[in-house]
Amino acid sequence: MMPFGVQSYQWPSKNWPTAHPQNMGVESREFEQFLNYAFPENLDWSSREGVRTQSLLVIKDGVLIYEKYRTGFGPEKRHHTWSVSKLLANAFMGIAEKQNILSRQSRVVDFVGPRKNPDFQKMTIRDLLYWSSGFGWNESYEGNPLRSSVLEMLYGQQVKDVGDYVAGTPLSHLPGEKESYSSGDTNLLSLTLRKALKSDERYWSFPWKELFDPLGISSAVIERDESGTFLLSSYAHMTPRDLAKIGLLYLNDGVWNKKKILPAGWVYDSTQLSPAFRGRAKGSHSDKPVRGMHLWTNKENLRMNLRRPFPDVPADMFAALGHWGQSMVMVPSERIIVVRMADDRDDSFDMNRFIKLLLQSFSSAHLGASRK
Amino acid sequence: MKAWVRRLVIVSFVIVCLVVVALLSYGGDLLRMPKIGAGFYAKEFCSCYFVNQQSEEFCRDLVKQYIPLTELTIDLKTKSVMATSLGAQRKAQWVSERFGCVLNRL
Repeated sequence: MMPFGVQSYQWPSKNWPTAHPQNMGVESREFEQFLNYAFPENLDWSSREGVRTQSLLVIKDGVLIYEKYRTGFGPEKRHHTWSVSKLLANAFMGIAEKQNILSRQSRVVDFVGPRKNPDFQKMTIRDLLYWSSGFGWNESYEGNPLRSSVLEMLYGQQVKDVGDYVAGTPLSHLPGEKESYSSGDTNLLSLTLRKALKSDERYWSFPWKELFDPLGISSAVIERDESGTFLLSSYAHMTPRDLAKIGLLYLNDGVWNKKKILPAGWVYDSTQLSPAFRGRAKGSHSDKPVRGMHLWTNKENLRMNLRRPFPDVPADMFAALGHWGQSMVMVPSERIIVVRMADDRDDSFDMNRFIKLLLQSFSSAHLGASRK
Repeated sequence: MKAWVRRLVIVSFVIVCLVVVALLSYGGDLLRMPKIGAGFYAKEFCSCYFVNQQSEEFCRDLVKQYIPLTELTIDLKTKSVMATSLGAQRKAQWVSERFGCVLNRL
C-alpha cells in the first residue's frame, strides 16, 4: 500500500479516461445496491426529504468508471459546491507556501493588519487552516438564522468586505486553542492570500494560473464579496468532472503529471486530525467526520476517546463536504474518488453506508487495505 | 369578572410579556432577517440562473425558504436579480464568466 505514492495515470487534463466498471473489478449486483442508495426509487422530490443525489461520479485508479446525473444535470453542468469550496482554500494556501508567498507559520496580522484585540496578532495561517482561530463565531444556517455570523457575512451588510468582518470578530479563545468549524476562518484565509499577493490582479488570476489551468479545469467560477475577496467558504461552482481533478491531485500528493503543485507533505499534513481537537463536544454526533486542515478526515484517536467516525470506511479517507449534501470523498488506500452533488434537505444521508456500499462492490482483487 | 375573562386577561398579559422580552433580546436580529433573506434569495437565484444555468422554475424551487419571497425580478439585459422579502430589497449582479454573481451591500 502506498498511501500517497505518486501513480502514473493518463492525466485527465483534457478528458477523463473512462472504463466500464466491470473492467475495473466492480461486481454489478453490489454496485446496484450502491446506486439504489444514491438514487432511491420513488423519491418524491417536492417533499424535500430523503437522499437527493443530483450528480454522482466514481473514479478508480484515475479512471472515470461511473457517472450518473439527474434530469437537468450532466457532464457540462456546473454545481454550486458550497463548503466543498473550502478545499480550494487549502489548495491555494499550499500553492502559496510552495511559492514562498507565505507559510503556515506566518502571522495573519502581518498581511491583514492589526485589530483591537492584542491576541489577534498571535493568529497564524495554520490556526485558520485548522479552524482554530478562536473567533467567537456563530456558524448556523437556515435552521437557526438569528445571530448567525455566516449569514451576516454572506447575505447581510458584511458582504461588503468579508475578510475585514471576520478579522474584527471578538475572540472567545486564544488562537490555536480550540477548533470550531467556521466559514469566517476560510474567508480570512482568502483575504490573507489577497494581501500576501500584494496585487489584486494577481490574486484574481491566481486560482486559474496556479490550479485550474494546470489541471485542465475549465468550468470553475469563484464568486467574490463586494470588495473582490473570493468567497472560498461557500461560492465555488464547477462540474463534478472538474472537481474530481482536484481530488486526483490530492490522491497524488499534490503532483499533477510530474508538475509539483502543492509542497511535499502538504496533503499528509492536511489530512491529520487537527492538533486543536479537544474531544467530541457533548451531545454531538459520533458519526460526523473530524477536521484536518480545511478538510474532513476519518481519523481515530484513542487518547481523545475518538473512534473512527465512519467505521466501515478506511481511516485514511478524507473529504471536502458542503451544505445540502455536496461532497468529494477521497480514499488514498483504494485510489478512489467519489463526487456526489446533491440537494439533501434532511440528514437522512449516511456517508458511512454510502462509501461502504461502494467499497463492497469491488472484488477483493481490486481492493487493498480496507479488506485486509 | 367571569373566570374565563380573567383567564384571557392573564394569558394575554403573559403573551405580551414574552413578546416584549423576545423583542428586547432578539429585536435587532429579527429586524435583520428580511434583509438577509432577500440577500439570500437574490444571490442564490443569480448564481443558480446565470452561473449554473438552471431553469427559472428549478432556481425558484431551490432557493425557497420559510422567509417569504415577496417578489423576484430577473433582468436578462443587465444579468441581475432583484429580490424582495418582507419589505427588504436586495440586488445580485452577474459580473463575469470567472467571478459569477456578486451581492450588493444593503
